[in-house]
Amino acid sequence: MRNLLFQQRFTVAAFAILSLLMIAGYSLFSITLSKTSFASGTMLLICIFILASYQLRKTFSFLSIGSTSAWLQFHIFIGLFSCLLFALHIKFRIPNGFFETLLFFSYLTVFLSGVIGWFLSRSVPYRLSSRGEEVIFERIPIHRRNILDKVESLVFDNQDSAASKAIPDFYQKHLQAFFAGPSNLMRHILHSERHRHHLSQKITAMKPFLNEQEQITMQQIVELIQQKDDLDYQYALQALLKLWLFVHVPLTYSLILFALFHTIAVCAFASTSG
Amino acid sequence: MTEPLQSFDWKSSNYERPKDGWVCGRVCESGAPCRLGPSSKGECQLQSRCQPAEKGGRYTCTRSVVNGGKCKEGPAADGTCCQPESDCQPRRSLLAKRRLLGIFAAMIAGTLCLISFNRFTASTLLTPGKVTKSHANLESNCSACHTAAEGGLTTWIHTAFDGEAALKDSALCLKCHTEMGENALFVHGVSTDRLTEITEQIQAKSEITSTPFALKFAAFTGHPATNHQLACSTCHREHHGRESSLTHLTDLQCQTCHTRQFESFEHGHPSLEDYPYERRSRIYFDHAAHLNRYFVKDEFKRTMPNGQKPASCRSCHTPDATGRIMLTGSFEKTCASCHEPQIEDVEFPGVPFFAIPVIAPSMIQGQGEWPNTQGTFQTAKLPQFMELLLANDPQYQNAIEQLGDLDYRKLNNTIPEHHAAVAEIAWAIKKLLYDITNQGEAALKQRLKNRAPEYLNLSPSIISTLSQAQQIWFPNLSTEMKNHLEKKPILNEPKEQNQEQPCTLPVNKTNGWHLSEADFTIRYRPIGHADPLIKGWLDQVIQTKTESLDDSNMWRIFSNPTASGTEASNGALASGRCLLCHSVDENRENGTSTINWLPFRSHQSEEQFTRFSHAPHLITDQKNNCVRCHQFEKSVKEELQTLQSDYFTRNQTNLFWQINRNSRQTCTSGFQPISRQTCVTCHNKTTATQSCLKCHKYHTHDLTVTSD
Repeated sequence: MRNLLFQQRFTVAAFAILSLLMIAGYSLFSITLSKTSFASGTMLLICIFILASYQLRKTFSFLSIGSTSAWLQFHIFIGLFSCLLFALHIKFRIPNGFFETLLFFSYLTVFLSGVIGWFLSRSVPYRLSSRGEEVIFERIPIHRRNILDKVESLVFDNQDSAASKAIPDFYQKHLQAFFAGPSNLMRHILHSERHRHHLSQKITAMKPFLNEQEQITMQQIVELIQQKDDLDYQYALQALLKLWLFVHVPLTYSLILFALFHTIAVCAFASTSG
Repeated sequence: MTEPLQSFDWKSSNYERPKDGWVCGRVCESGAPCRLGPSSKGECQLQSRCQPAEKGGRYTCTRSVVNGGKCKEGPAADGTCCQPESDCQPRRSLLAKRRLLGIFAAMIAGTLCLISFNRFTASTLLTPGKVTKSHANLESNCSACHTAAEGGLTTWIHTAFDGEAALKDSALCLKCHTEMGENALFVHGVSTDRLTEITEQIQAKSEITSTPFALKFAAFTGHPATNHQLACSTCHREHHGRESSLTHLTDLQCQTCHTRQFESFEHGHPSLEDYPYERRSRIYFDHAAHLNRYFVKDEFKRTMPNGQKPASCRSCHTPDATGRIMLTGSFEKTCASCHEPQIEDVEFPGVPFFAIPVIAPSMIQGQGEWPNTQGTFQTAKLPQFMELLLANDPQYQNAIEQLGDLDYRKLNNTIPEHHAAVAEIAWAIKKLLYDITNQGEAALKQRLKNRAPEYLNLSPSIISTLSQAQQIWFPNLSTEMKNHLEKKPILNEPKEQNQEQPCTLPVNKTNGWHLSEADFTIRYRPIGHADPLIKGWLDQVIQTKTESLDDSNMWRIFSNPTASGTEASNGALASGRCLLCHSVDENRENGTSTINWLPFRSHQSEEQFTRFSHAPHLITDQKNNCVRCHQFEKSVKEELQTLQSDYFTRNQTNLFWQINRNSRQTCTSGFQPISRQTCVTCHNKTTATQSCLKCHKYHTHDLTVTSD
C-alpha cells in the first residue's frame, strides 16, 4: 500500500515536472521566430504513436516487454501529456479549416473517451467487487439461463393442480421478463436500487396470501431474484468497461490517418524551414 | 444461501477465448452454448444431432459429454434424435465487432483524406483558415503561394523534405511584392556583408546592457535562417483570418536575432545617437540664425512674406500626406521674399559662355576684322562652353598644340613664329560664330554630339544671342568666311570701335543671356530660383567632372559663399548661389555625385531601419511644440554661421571654397540630437507604446517619400 502511494505520488510529480518543463520550453521557443507548431506537432505525433502502441502490446501479450499494468500507466501518462501538447499546438483555439476541425474533434473524442475509460477502469472494478459474485462476462448468458431454469423449475415443477396459482401468476406478471434477459442496466450503472425496492414491495404484499409451502418457494425465488439482479449488475458494469473501447479504439485509427495526412500537408505547405 | 453461479473447477468450467472472432450463437440466444464453440471461420462445429444407437430393440442417446451428454428425453421410438435443430449460427465476438468498427472508421478517415487531397476540393477542405483581406483574391488558388500545390502526393512528400521549400514559396511572394528589392530574402533586405558591417557599427557604438532572462534561454533555439536567408513565412503567418495582422511581432521576437538585447525601449535601449541626424540635410539651412536673429529682429521684418514673421516651425514645415515627414515648403513660399533678390543679384555680371580673346591686329594681318584688339582678357582659358564647341575643330586643336602652354591673357605676347597659330585660333572662333549663325541648332549638334551631347538640351538657347553678337562684332563675317575658304585675300579693315560707349545689350529678363561689348563677352545670369540653364549645367558638370569639380569655372561661381560680394561682406548675400543651399552628395560606391535640388528625394533608396511619423506628435494647440524635441545646440553661436565647415572648406590653394560631398557627415543644422529620454516621457510601459515596430521597420527598401 505504501509502495502504491509512493508510486502515485512519483507519477504525479513526474507529470507535473515534465509538463512544466514542456510549457517553459514551448514558451521560450515561442518568443523566437521559429515555428512552435512544428515542434509541438512533431511531439504530438510521437505521443499518438506511443499511445497507439498500447494496443499492439495487448495483441502481443506473449512478449515480455513489461507488464500490461505498467504499459497502461504509461499509456495514461502519455495520454494526459498529449492533451497538454495538443492544447499548445492549437494555441487553445478551435481550428478554422474543415480538415483541421475534423482532426481536432477526432483527437478530442479519442482523448475524452480515454479519460472516461480511465475513470471507468478505476471505479467499476471496485463497484463490481462490492456486489454479487464476480463472473466472467462471456459466461453471463449461461448463468442467466441457469437462474431462469431454476426459477421456472420452482414455479412450474411439482405444481399441484389444487394449489393456488398465485406464484405462477405473479411470475408471469412480474418476473418473467426480469429473468428472461438483462434488465435495469441503466439503473445498475447509476447505482439505483429502486427496481428491487418495487419488486420487494410487491412480494411483501403478496406473501400473506400464500400458504406455508408457497412461502418457502417464494423465499427461494426471492434469493434467485437477488442473484439475477446481481448478475445484471455485473453485466451492466462489465459491458460498460468494454463498450467505451468501441469509441476509443476505432477513432484512434481515424486519428492516426488524419494526423499523418495533416503532417504531410503541413510540411509541404507550411514552409518547413521557416 | 444460493449456490455460486460459476465454478472454476477445470472439469466443469469452459476455457473462455474472448479474443476469438466468433462466439456460439446459442450462448447469445439461450445461454446454453456447446462446449466446442464455433470454428475460426464462424462455422458451428457442434453436431448435437446424435445418432441414437439401437441396443436390444431400444434406442439410446449417444451424444457425447462434450456436447452436453445424454439428453433426458432420449431418442424417439423410431430412433430419431429428440433435439434435431440444436446447431446454431455463431455470432461475432465483441473484439471482432470492435475490429470491424475500427476498419470501418479507418476507411472513412482514408476516404476523407483522399477527398481532401483532391485538387478540386483541397483549397476549401485543407485550408487551415481564411487568409487576410489583402490576399483574399488568392485564397482559392493554392499554387499562387505554395509550390507543393503544383503536384500530387509525391510532390507534397518531396516538398516536405526539401530544406529550401520555404525559400521557394517566398519567391512566389516576391512575384507580387517587387518593392522589396533584390535582397528581399536576406535579413532586413540587405546583403550579408552589409548586415555584418551595420552590426559591427552598432556593436561599437552601443553600450552593453543586461540581456533579459528569456532571451538568454531563447538563444539556444537558434535562428530560422537558411543560407543567411529568411523565408517570408518566418514573420508573416497567414491563414489566421481576414482581420489578422501579417506584420505583428513581439519585441522579444525581434530581439532574438539581435546580438545586443535589452529589456525595453524604456530600459536598456541604445541611445538614439544622432537620430534623425545620421546624415547631412539636403538643404543647408541655419536654423539658429533664422530663428534667433532674422525671425526675431524687426530689421528683417520687412523682408518677410507680407511683412509677417513665421509664427512657428509649421509656417515652413508641413506634414506630408502620410503624416510621417515634415516637408519643407517651396522656395517661393518660404524663402523667396528674402532671398529672391540675392539670386537675381544685379551686381553679378553673369557666367561667361562666349568671349572674344584679345588679339593685336599685327598678329592677324590680312585675316579680316577682329573686334577685340585692345584691353585685357580676364581668364587663362576660353569659357568652358566655347572650349566644348571648339573641341572637335581640328584647326583650333592644331593651333593650341603649336602654342603649347596657352594662356589667353598673354595671347598678344606670343613670338612671331606663333602668329599663324594665333590667326588659326581667330579663324576657328569666327567659323564657330559663322556656323551657329547660319545653321543654328544643327551646328551646335554637330559640334557637341560627340563631345558633350547632354548640353544640347539645355535652355534657354544661346543661339539667338550668338547671332546678335555676330552681327555686332563681325558684320562682314559671311564675306570673310567665303574668301577665307576660297583662299582669296581679305582686306584687314578693323571696325572702328566707340570706346566711350560700348554696346551692351540689357539682360533679357525672360532669357538671361546678354552680351557685353566692353569685353566682347556673352554671359548668362540666372533669371531666378531654379534657373533651368544653370541647374542643368551644374548637373552636367557634376556628372562629367566629378574628379575636378573645383576647377570648373561654373562650379566655382555657384559654390562661392560670397556670391558677388566679398568674404568680408558675405552676410545676406551668401544665399544667392545654388550650392550655398543645395548640398552635394557623393556616392562612395560608384564615385558619382548628385546635387540635392529637393529637400527629400522622391524615392528613398537608402536603407531605412527606422520610421517616425510627425503628424501624431504635433499638438495643434501648441504652436512651438516642435522644440520639445528639436532643441538648439547650445554650443552654436547665435551669430550667423554661414560658412559651416561641414559644408564648405578651403581648397588646397586656400583661394576657393570647396563643397563637402560627404553625405554621411553629421548634420549641423543647429539642433541637438534627440535624446531617448525625450521619447521615453511618452513611450514607456505605462502608455504601452514602446514596441520595436513602432519606430523600426524590418524591410529597409520599401519606403517611398514624396516631396513638394
